[in-house]
Amino acid sequence: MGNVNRFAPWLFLFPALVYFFLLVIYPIFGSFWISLHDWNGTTFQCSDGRSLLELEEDESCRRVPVMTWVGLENYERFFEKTPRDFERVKNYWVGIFTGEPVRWPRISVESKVLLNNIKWLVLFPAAIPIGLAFALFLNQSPAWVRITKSMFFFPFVLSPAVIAFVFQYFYDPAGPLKEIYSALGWSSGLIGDQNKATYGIIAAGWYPQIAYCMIIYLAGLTAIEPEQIEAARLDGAKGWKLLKRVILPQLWPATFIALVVTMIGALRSFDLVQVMTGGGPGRGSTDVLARYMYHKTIFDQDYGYGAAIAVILFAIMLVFIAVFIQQMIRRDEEA
Amino acid sequence: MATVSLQGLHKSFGSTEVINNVNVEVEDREFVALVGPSGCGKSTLLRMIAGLETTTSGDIAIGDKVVNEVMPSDRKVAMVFQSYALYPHMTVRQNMSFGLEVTGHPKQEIIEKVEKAANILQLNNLLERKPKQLSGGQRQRVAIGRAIVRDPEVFLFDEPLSNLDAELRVQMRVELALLHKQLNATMIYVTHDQVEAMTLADKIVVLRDGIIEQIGAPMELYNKPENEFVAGFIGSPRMNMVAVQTAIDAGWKGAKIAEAVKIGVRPEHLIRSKTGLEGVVYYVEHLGGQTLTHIKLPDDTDITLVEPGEHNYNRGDKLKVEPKPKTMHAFDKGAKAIRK
Repeated sequence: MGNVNRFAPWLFLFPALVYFFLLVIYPIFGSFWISLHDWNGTTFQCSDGRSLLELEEDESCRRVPVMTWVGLENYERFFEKTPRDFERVKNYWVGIFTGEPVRWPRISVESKVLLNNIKWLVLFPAAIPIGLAFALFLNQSPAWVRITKSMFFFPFVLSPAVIAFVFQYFYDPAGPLKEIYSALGWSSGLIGDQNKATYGIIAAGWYPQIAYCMIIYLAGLTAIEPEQIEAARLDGAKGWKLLKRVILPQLWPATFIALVVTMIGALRSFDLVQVMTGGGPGRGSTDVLARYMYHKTIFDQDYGYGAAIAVILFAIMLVFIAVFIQQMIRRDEEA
Repeated sequence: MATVSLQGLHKSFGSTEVINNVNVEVEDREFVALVGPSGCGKSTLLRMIAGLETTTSGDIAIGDKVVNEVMPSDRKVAMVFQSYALYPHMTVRQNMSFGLEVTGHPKQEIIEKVEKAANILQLNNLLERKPKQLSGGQRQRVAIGRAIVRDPEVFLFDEPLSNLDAELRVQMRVELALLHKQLNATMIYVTHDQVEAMTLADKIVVLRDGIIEQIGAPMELYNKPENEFVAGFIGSPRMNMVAVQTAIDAGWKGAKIAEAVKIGVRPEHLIRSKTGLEGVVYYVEHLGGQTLTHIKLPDDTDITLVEPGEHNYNRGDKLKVEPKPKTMHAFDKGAKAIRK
């Protein structure tokens, strides 16, 4: 009986563990291994060292990729120009604040990609407070609020590709924003301009993300006892004080989930960029790590470099995930 | 401290009238209980006094000021909720000081007031705990503490004991009674439990369907209920009701009252007798100190007999009962009590 109890959990975990190792753990280490090589993704040889051409008819062998060991060269390539570009961007901002006329510097594609991911990380979470505002608004009982509630869920059920296409039309220089563009003098539209395109895509990303955060907050709000709000009203708390001191602290679990999902979403943004601009206009003006990795790997057949980008992205995510997990454990211990 | 005066109060949700012409005068430092079955409007009435519900018409005055349009926090009332409604993310101290903080009281004053309330309620050792770490009775005390620190003129209680187990409820009932003496405050207390109302209140307001059935001191309601509803609601077990003819036929003395339709006798006022009303025992409850015997009359009316001590009746036994002298209540066709 004791033995059964000891093995039973592992037995139940076994199927999940198989998939987890095969589809998560192995590829992580595989990516890291490939990132230390130069490989075009298509050349293979037999595991015993023979070329595939030397095989007899009907003979088969275990194929392994033909990769050239390059050490950390792929990483060096990625970060080659980032220190220089960092200086240039810094000088640009210094110039802005000291009032000198400066132009946006020329920087490498890698630096653009990193910078764009940072823009995503900073701006994408704006969906959280907006989602909260919608949730607070929709958490009322009048009939028309309850009826319109479902409409606010709608962006969440749309496929990201559909959202990307819709926003592509929406941003078209000859589209519905035409008047606004001409008033502002933006002749190529929002996503046709190298300097503005990323912001346009992030704004499109908000559309479903706000709905998502709103759903999380609506669920969180139902957990707050109405009598507590009444007690707070008797205590004299209203408006911002009521929100900050009574409601928001209790919404922390919802905020935490929204934050995790939004930050991870910002880091792995891919679909909107791919569909709306394909990383352009120009070289990499809207590109992000996930899409750049995909592009380098599949189109440029630079598997080693693509894998190196994947590892860099993974490392960045790991930092966030570590912080999130630490927070989660701390909250659990408090509770 | 202050008086509370409700004048011609009405409240309706859409077309349903939940409070209908309620007039109550609460004296300074009085403990008033609002009782009635669930859905009678007693909680709504309390929430109207607190300002959590608007009034459809009529006036609510606290002290000599009409407060219909005054914000809940400015009415100088404090409320203890059925669920306690403590803020789960705050400690006991923060829960108690929150109201004073948001209304901008000086820090030192807040600390003193919280300490004082904690002393009264024996919460000193629990001040840094969160509500989750407290028992039901302790949470109840914190909720009361939160009310005390605000120095309200009127305390409002909304079924504060109904989430506690029976033993704790009795204990808290005594504590509340002592607290009322200690604070010398005006208190309005909503309950569906007539025992709580009887033991705590100076004055009881019996409500049914938004209408006041009777207002009076506990023993006044017990001894002189104005109608069948109050007679049945106050006192436990309920008052027995038998048809007048049945009582006359059984030879109950004084049962012949003009216009009476029903005769009411409390279970504790019935005694077994040689002659009198005969019925069949169908259930016996042994409470140790007393025995409750449920009897079915030939006309299918159920009556209850409460006797001190232990009695071993069997199902099917025939018993004859009659009321002790001068304990009968008579009710007319409109269920109104007839006074001789």
